[in-house]
Amino acid sequence: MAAIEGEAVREEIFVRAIDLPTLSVKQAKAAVAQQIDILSPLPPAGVVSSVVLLGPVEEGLNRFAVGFAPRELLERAAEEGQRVVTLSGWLDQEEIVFRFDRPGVAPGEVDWARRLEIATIAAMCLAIVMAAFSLRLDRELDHVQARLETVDTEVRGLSGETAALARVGAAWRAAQAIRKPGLVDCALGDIVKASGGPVALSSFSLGNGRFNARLSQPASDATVTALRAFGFSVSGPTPAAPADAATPPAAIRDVQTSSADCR
Amino acid sequence: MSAQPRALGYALAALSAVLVIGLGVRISGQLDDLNAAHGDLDQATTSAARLKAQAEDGIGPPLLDARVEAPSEALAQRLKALGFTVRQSALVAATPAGRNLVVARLTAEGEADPAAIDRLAPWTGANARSAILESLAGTANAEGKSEVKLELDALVRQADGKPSPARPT
Repeated sequence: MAAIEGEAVREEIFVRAIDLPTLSVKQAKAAVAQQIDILSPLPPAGVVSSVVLLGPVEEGLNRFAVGFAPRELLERAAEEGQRVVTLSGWLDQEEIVFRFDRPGVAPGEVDWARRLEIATIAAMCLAIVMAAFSLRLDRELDHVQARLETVDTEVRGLSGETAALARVGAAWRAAQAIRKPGLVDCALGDIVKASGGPVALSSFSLGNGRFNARLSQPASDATVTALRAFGFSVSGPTPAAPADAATPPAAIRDVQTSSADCR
Repeated sequence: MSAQPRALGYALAALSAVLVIGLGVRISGQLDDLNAAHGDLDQATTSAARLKAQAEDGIGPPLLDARVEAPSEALAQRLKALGFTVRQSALVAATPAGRNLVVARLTAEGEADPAAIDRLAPWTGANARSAILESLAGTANAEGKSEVKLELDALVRQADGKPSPARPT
């Protein structure tokens, strides 16, 4: 139990006298609680009241002194764990001591209201932090999306470029497959081998994977046979089957081969 | 505590709970979206790098480098090294074949003896990834040599940002 003395404290205690037809302090407290809006000089939510029986005043009525103390004053005056705060006030030059119940829950009990208040404050703080985090995530998401759009645009451009490249590459590989560089070597070598020694060409050409040559001198039968064996085709009639035995065979000077035929 | 402040307290508590739950759901969705966006970005970046490498590699290694010497001049030098007498060489067409890479159609005219012609085929074969002998024609002349005319498709390295020397064919 605590008692605060001093003029400053007394000035904060408001005292009123009420006359009631009862001696019961409990009933008097109930009556005060019912009319606290009228009796209290301060907003009812901000005050705590205490009732003291002063004594009979006229027949059937008893006078009670009602003290009103601000809640804040009681919180300030009470020590840790105290349930009752004793403060004195003045009524008609008489000092009256009131015992105010400290507002709030009894020591040892769970103050759910307080906990709810703390939880609410914590939740509000958490909500603020989460909102800030959410905004940051939004910005990060926008940033990543912008980068993604840039890279997607680049990928689309590169896809077109590589598709065009693939077409060129396919044509390049197809040309490589047909136009084999070894055909010249193969053809010239085979002509020399078929002729049995050095041979003179009046012209030759290579194009579209085919090799054509014109011999300076007509090829002999043996040469033609050998050239055919090497995969060449020759112009003119076949020496082995002339149309007329009396007619000399036509001079064979043009020979052709290809990458696929030359061997 | 009177009834009104208590109700206000409960309302605030409920509001804060709803706020926290709502923001939690929103953040969860945002994190999912962010993870998905990062995944897409990684995938797109990988694709871009792969495509860029393909584009830079082109369809093969270059035979000639236009940054060093004009392709027609470079071809003439190569043919001279093989024994050709080059009278004329030219770049007649080019097709893009990668980053700073073109397929160039080069022509050359000149004179060659049989040994030079024999050396041409192995040289072309050795550079088969970079050059294709499109055509070769030779006619014997009075000096025992051949008047030759050839067309060669070659991969040529272009200078950065330099436009193709001819329209693609």
